[in-house]
Amino acid sequence: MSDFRALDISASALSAEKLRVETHLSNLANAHTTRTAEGGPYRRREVVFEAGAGEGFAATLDGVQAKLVVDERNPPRLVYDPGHPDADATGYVAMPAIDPVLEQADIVSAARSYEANLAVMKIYKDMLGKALELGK
Amino acid sequence: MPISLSSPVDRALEAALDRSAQTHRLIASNVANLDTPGYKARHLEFEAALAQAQGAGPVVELRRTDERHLGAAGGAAPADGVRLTVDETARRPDGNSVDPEREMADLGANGIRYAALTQALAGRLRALKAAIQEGK
Repeated sequence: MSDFRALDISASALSAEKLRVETHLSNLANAHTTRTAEGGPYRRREVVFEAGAGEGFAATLDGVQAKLVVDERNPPRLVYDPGHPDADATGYVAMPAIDPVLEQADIVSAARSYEANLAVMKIYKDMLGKALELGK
Repeated sequence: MPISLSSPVDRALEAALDRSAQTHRLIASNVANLDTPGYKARHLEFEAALAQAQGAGPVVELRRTDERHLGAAGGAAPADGVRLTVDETARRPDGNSVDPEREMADLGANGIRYAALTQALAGRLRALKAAIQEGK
């Protein structure tokens, strides 16, 4: 065992999964946000995972990169609420298209993946500890 | 029997330790990409990889000292490169082929294997230490 590469791989996954939890939490928190800096309602965000590209054995040892993207597939849904300050002339308000059930399922899935990567990291630390005991 | 750090047994143990560490990095990579669409799980076939590592040089030679002895089966280990199998079967609609249960099982087995190998190597080192200290 010559390096700490395995820890980097697991660490990249931990931060990627954390970003996933944070993103879906942000979606949940903004389920009713009608005003944003870019104007219009909040747009649902999604995390896209990407494995390292390349050839050979070294390339297979890449961790994972997470990218935050705006979900363009789901346009805002129109809700009839004439009393709302952001309602248009016809009484409809553009609300973020966020399904709380979907968001929560994603959060649970990300949390489980986080746990799995943490387990991998812990085993590796145990292995390094065993290697350190060699000289004793 | 002479004990030295470069004896075939020690070199075999070191090679096995290296393979075990390599296996861990592959598992870490697979688990890190648990949620990466299109990612294909990779595995290192441990026994095949070890045989390949040992095939790099003369390790333990079996000699027939009597005609009635059984011959060494197989002879030299096949030197067919590190066998890295890519699991092309996608279990999910996103094309990802990582099986978390298999990865976690492999992770546990590999950790135990690593511990066993370090224990064996530590025993060799203890014997060497005893010889240096004249058995004191």
